[in-house]
Amino acid sequence: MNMALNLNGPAHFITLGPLSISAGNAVVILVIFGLFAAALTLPFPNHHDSE
Amino acid sequence: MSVPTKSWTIRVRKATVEQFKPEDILPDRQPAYVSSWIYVFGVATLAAFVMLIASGLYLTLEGPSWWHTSSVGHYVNSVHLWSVELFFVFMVVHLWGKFWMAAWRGRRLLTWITGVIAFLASVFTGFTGYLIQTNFDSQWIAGQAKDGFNAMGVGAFFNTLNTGQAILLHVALLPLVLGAIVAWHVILVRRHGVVPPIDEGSSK
Repeated sequence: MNMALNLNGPAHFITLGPLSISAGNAVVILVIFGLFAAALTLPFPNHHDSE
Repeated sequence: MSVPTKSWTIRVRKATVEQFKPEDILPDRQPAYVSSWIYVFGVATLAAFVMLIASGLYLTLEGPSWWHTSSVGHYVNSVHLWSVELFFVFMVVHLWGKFWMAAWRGRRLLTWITGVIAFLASVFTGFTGYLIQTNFDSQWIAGQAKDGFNAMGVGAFFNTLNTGQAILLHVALLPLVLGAIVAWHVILVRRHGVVPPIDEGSSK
């Protein structure tokens, strides 16, 4: 099956000195940072029935 | 027949209704400061947890090698995997939000502590899930983890190469423990209410 992102096979690792992290793990952490920033900055739809 | 006025059931009922008022457990209004996206990640974590339990139940019913031999099984296994990815992503964002807003204020220390314990229990549950993939990845992980647990001195209690123990921990004991901790955590949130922002000046 051809997929845009083939998740089969060994992981790619990003190595910085003694630190080594898989590309997938790095993506998850970046998504977490992105979601956190978005949660703090994006406007929330306000309804008039809140106190 | 006279109606009893003192019994343990009456005492438990009165204490329960006193501690958990219905309007607190299932409120119909929320404070204005809850209208922010950062407050969504607790319930998002819960939603992912529900998906984890549902997909996990299906996998349990069909057995640990079902996902290797069935396309439906492969799909349900994938739902289980991505549910756990989302569970941890949402839980971490929830943790960061709660930490930076000092959500333990106003007698909410136990809410924070149950959250920490739920996080650690989730990690351990995830590790046991890694062990029962019934493929070469999990065999490798089990071998590496066995060295780690032996080094910690708990190798006699947790044998990662014992797939039976790993399955029972992951499917029976840990979901019950984690479910109980999460339920306690949510009940505490409902009892004490969502913590107000720091600049509100109150610690109610």
